[in-house]
Amino acid sequence: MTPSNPSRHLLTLALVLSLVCSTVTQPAAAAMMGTAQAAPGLRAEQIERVDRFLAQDSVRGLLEQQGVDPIAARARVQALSDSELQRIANNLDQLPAGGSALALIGAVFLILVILDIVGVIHVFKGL
Amino acid sequence: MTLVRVAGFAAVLLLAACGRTPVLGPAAGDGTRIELDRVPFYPQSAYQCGPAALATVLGQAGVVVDPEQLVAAVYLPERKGSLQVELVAAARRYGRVPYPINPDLAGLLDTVRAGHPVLVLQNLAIERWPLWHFAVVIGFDAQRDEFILRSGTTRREISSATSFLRTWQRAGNWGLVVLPPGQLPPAADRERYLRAVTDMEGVAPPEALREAFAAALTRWPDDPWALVGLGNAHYGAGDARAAEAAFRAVLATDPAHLVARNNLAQLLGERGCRAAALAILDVGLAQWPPAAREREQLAATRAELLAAAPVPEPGDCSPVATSGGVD
Repeated sequence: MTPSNPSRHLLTLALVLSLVCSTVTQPAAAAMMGTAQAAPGLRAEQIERVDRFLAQDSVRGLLEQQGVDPIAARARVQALSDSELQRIANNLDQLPAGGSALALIGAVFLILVILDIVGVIHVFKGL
Repeated sequence: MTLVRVAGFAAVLLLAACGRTPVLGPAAGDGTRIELDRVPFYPQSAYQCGPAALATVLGQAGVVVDPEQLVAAVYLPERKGSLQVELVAAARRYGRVPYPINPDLAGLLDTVRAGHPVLVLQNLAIERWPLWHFAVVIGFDAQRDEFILRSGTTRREISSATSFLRTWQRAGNWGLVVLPPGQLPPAADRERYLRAVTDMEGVAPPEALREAFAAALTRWPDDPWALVGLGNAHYGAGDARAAEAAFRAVLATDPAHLVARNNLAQLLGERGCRAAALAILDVGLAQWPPAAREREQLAATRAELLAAAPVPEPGDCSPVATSGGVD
């Protein structure tokens, strides 16, 4: 209905195809165990294999909520390790998000105002 | 009350810029001055210090990529920032090894001294109202007690050691070095490095994984974790014979290694050596008590082998000599 529809259909088709292809090719290597399973103390990871897909799903949803394009979000979650997925899934809001030094001026101003109010410094007295 | 405490803290922060004792002297060795001036510079736009800092360290590691291209990989529009874990993940996608440095001054100085710029997280404000920022440490000057950074829109930001270290500490002393595969960080921590490379599996190209695990084996010869990683990387790169040699090398020193045993049997099965594969699995199955989880994996591989249509066995199913043949 909207002009963007044809490209959307193409994207959907590509996604569906990639899903189908990945399920088709998977069984061949299904019995190869990943290197993560050779790491010490990682039996739990082995057992919770299925959880990775759940965690990827939930993190993908979170990234999309943060304004990330759905296709980009998909690629991003695939590059995250299990523990990184967990960390984002559990407390995205608490994780530091490095942004800009430019806002520092605003923050410094705020501190100066507070210090002035409390009486530690006297920047604004003469104004 | 809290306000007073915050204000007091902020006052200390501001006053610290005046009288200070040198902090770099003893740690860096007096007079040491290092600046990695060939590290590229990408001035950040708007809130995108994450993409800019990542492009900087990737550039040093041989990947020329514009920060604009990294925005889709690391930026969170609603948060107006980037997460540490996503910078790490994005480096993987470019086939580079993201290794977290030792979170202290010595770790930072050692890494820079070894020629690697360090991507750092800073909290430019205070704990209560954090202002997170990514920058890249490219050098330090012990005599002047300063750090040199690529930061924001400044190509050479000079920061007093005291104030930089304070902003760094408020961000957990987090620093990341991004290495071309094949290069080890200075004083590499075995587990941290192998974890970093293992997390690249399925994300970075197999060739990068081969180089990164091979480098680990030069530092920690015969390490089973690194050997299994190398074997899987060979397999991913389509070199099943080299993979086989790596798994055999693990079993030679650790016959109870589940992953090596399982994967070796799998490989042998794939190239038609069914009898040899079954024999290897049966040895393994006898190693564990009946209820062990390890048995489930081996039994599943065994069942899959038996279910496959039998093919004529090739002539070279027996183990070949593996001396020096693992890479």
